Amino acid sequence: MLSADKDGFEEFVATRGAALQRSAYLLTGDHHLAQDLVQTALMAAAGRWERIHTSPEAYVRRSIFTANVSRWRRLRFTEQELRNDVPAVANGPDSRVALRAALDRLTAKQRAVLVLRFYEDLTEVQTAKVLGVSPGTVKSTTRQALARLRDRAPHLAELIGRTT
Amino acid sequence: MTDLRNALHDLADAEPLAPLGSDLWQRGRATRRSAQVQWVAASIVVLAVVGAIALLGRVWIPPDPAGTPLAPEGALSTVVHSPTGPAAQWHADDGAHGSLAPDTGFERIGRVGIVRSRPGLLPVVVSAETGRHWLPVLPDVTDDFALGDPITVSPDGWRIAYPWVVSGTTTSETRAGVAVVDLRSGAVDRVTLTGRNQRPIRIEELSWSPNGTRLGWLGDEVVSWEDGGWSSRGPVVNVGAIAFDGTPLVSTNFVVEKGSRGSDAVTVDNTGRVFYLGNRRLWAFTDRGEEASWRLAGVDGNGWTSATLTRDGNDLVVGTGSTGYGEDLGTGVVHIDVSSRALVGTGPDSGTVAGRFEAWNGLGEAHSVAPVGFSPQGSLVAVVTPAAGENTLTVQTKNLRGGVRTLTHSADNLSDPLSVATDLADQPPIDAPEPDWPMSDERKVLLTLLAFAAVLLPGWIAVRLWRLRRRAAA
Repeated sequence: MLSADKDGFEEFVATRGAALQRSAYLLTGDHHLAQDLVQTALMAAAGRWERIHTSPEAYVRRSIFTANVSRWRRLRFTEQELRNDVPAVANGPDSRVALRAALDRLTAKQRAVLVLRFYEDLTEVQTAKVLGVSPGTVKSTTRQALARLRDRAPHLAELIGRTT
Repeated sequence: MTDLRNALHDLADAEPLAPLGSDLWQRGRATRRSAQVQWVAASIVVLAVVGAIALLGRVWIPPDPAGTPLAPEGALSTVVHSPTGPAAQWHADDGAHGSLAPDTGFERIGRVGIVRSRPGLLPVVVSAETGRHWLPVLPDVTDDFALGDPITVSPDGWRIAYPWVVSGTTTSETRAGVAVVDLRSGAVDRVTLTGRNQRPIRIEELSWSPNGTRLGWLGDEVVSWEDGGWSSRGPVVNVGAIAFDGTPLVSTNFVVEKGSRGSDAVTVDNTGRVFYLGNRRLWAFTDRGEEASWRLAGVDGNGWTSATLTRDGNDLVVGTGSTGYGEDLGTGVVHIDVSSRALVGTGPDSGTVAGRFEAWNGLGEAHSVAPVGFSPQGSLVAVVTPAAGENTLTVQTKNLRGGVRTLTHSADNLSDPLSVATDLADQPPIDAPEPDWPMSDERKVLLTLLAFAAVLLPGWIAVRLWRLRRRAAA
């Protein structure tokens, strides 16, 4: 159990910081953005550490995803359009490169749903709670995200097919 | 190839991680403190705005009619304030036309200690029990009085008398006289006064009898008095006394030829006998209309301000000072023995009556002393008016041993006359706070703007904070 003081907070950052950063990286596809998201969420957690120190991860994760959705809402008419202009998917031999390129073709919301559902292993209800949408929206967004991956990255069809 | 779950883990695990800041705890706590400070500041601002509205709106709420009694038995107030801001310019006509909402309902005022006439403007009436200042609209009060104490309060503080006029398009249509407000019932009774030529009488001075059962008056039957104002004085002086022993009120009315009129003064005793002092001749009129007059001997000059009688009715006291009408006698009072022993003879020239000048302690020549009456313990109560703009008006008493005491003073240098309830002059004066004058239009506008700001402010602060947080998150 983490303590309610600075030591408890630093212990949490040391043990869970990397995992949170990886999750944030999958959300954004950018190291610097991921770092900003995680640091902002951790600063918010430090501000109210006395109240959340018993289970801080749920709070921090929700902060990260909420901030990312907010960022996406602000930038969807600019950055997202630019991303749609990215030329064809890199069909390199490395599947990680291919998956990263495919994720970049998704909207931030679709990407967040996939990360929460398949990386964080959250249920539809938990995912809906984190993103502040209804479970039905999570379900339909998951379906749309996978369909888009199949459409934009046919070479990942086998991987996506086993998932669905 | 693994499934999507494993692929995502592979992708995340393979990426290098950027180091997290080592000062997250300090920055997070500082940010939290900053947000808390912002909320506290916003709350203070909102509370300040709400407080300002409450403060400004205080006079919007009808005050307790009774107020807080500071002197349940009644007393004079130590200070008489005059309205400030736009309320200082409110005219009686404005009240009559409904463009302002001054104090109405005379019975709410209760017993009055002091009345201050403000020619053309709303008079100031000071409660004897609470010291509260009222701005009543006196129906049809005249606005051209320039002499004497035209709005007066009775010795017991339960009546206010004032000159009234309803102007017509011609002099014959104009009605004028004396109105009396009964502060117990709120009723306003009027006496219409006309001269021997059936033209209205313009009241110049009012004076109460020692026990307040009679009100002496002095006026002119005008030559012309129409909507545009009165044009000139008539050939005679009218004097009389109103009796408060029945309804409707009735008044006697006597005529004195003006001759070479200089300064004059009038008063009445408890039986209704009217004394009129014009220059250096004293007239007396009884209820039955008998007239006698005496030449005043023993004083060299006049300059009368106002007159009053001792409680036993034997000593007529007339104030002197710089009135601009007569030969200055000095600042003080003249005592005239009007006992039955001294006033002998009847008819228009009954000999002489002795006058004795008594200087008022410590006053310069430019001052004037206007006797109002005598206190229950026998002290003479007088309003002392300084030279214009030099000092404040004061109400002073002079006891039988000659000691002078100041009871009340005005908070300004205006020379608007005062009248006081002399029965209260022996009581310790009350120190009432400066009044909240009724709401002005500007104050209403300011209040509306503040209320509008109070409604918008929380929303603006919320939006501001939300934007700050969004920027921080970005």
